[in-house]
Amino acid sequence: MERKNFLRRLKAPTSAKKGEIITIKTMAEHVMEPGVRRDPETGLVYPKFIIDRVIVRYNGKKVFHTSWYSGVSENPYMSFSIKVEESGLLEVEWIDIYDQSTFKRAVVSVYDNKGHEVFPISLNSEGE
Amino acid sequence: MDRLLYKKDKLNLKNFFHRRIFLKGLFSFSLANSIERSIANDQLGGPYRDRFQSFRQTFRVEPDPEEARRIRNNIIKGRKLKKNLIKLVAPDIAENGNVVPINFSVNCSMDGEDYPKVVHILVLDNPFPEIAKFYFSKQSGSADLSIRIRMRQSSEVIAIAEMVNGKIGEDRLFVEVTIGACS
Repeated sequence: MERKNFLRRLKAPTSAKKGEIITIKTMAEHVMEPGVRRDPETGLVYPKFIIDRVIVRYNGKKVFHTSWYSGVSENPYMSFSIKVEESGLLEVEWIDIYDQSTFKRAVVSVYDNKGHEVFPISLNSEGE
Repeated sequence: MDRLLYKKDKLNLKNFFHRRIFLKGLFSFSLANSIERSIANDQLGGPYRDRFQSFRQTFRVEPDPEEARRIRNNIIKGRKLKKNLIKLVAPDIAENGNVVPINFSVNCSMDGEDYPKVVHILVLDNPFPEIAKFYFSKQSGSADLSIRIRMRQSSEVIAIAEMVNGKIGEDRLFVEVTIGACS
């Protein structure tokens, strides 16, 4: 398998306001072989090799997931949106039909109206 | 001597159990096989349908409009379609069937039970009409998504949105393809 099938790209804004809906652009470099094409010289069917599922997690919680079939184009590009209430870690995981998983991460920091960052846990031991 | 005998007995017992387990396994395997076959023929429908469909796909190349219709009916299940629930955007003429950019957005306020559970995308004249499913949650702020798909020939693209509260909506567009893709 060539190395190029494992390159992933993830584009997300680094900062956002609280409650804002941010759009995320993802792209995986992958052949997405549908399993019906034949080699023109030998007549052999190229084996099916596609990305099956994409899972999006924010701070470890599953936000959005998809299941793809062979109709998705090669080098699949997808853009979607999530709502952020607190700063955290965005993870996008691509899994192919042989259960090989690859992922990409991005950090989104979220600020409230006063300009303070909203953390998922309170840093003071006393609380606010 | 006693010890040896004991060992021998134990070994025999083990062999016996192995055989029994082997037979059990064989029986369950044959049962599972028959269930698989019935699912593959879509007698049961069920959650495993997609897996076997993708398995069969390597052997079937010709488009099958009847199967596309059946898949659509399986999703809708005779429910009444709501108008203006989902909006699909796609080009009228796509030059390259390998990369057809499409975009959909669902009209809903993403709170309470008013958000899409799953959005299906189908291309009717593809040999494999099901293209993708998108499962949304409350935290995905708006059900607005764009993706690139493959199309073998000019046909209708359908997007079906299933909401959590049971409502269902559909939007369809005809896309003309000049150079088709292999899918």
